[in-house]
Amino acid sequence: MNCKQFQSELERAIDDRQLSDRSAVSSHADSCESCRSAWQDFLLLESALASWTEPVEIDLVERVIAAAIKPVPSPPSGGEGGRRPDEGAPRTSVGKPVSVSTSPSPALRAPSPPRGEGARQTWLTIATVAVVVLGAAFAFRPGLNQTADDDSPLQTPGHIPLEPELNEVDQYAGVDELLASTRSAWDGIASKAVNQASDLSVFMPDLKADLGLPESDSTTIPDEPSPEVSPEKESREKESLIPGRINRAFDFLLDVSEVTTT
Amino acid sequence: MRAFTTKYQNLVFSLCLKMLRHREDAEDVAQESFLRVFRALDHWDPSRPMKPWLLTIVANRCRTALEKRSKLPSQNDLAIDLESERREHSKHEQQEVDIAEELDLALGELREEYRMCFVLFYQQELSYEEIGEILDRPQGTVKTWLHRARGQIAECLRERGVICEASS
Repeated sequence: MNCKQFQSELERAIDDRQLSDRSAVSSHADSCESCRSAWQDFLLLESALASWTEPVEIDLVERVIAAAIKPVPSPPSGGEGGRRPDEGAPRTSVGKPVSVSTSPSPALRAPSPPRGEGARQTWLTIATVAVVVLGAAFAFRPGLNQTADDDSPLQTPGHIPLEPELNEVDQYAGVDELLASTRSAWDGIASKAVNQASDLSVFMPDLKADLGLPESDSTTIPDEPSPEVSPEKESREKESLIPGRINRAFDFLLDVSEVTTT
Repeated sequence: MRAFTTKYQNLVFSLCLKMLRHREDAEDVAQESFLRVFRALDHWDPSRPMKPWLLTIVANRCRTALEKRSKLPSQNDLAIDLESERREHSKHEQQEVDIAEELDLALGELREEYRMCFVLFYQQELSYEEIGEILDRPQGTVKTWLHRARGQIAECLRERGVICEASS
């Protein structure tokens, strides 16, 4: 017998619960080191199973019949219906709920509420909340207590003005501060615009005319280069025009800001 | 009802005892299994054998009981304490320990599926086909589970030194 035959013989012995050719298997195990451990395991389990499978005697007849004829107990008093009277105090073990009320099969479980019932209750809750919210909004809406012939602003008892009341001098002081801050903001915007849109300065005279601003010397457009000027000189002149245009645009925007603030 | 219980009570109880490894729990689950069987007798097909059908119900009850037990920490602690005590006993008095008891201990360390498969095969002496019907698994799976159960039990016994006693 080789190792393969030994393995198949051992598997057959397990399936059939009996070993037909014990002597051959045993002799191979004695001579083969690799199969010896499997053979020892087989012998050990075989000897253990011989005593392990001894029949167990129990008498459950009276207990089962008593539990079968007993009505199903309610959950608070359940759990002791099937126990024998001589078993003493109840245990907190897994088998304590002996009665038929524990972990019923799907067919014996109590019917669960239909799916439509839960959805109906959900929608009912949503509708109730919506009615409450709408009612609260209607009760506390602005102008509810204001009559038709009352021209004064809403002065409900709980009304709190958003701004504190100011006297006349304080109001003018606020306007001056507002104008000053607007002027500074506008100056900042204008300076950024000049830096970013210097090429648009060619349109400044027309804009000034449209806005009715006086023409200044710095706003005059220099003469265009004559056709006979060389290209290098023309490019240098063009570059020299850029700072002048920027200055003119800056002046224009300052003028516009003065007109706007005044 | 009485005759039925008398006929199958040892069969049902032995399976419960091997699965739960607790006598009172096994009695409770066996009783509950009988009550289930009485209620479900209408669903039994008389053309098929009673034993696999009955053991299917018992196996399901045992699984449910084991799940409940796993949710009870006090029970687990108790089981662990008992096992550790028995292990200590086996260490010091190896010569006097029953090998069947060691097998029970090793069986308790198996996965539930392996244990059920082992018990149904060796104790109830069911075929692979019947075990597959009870556990709702193909025969190949049952065979694999049984092979793994045997291997793990042998390893467990070897770790406890039982294998040396048996070989000698």
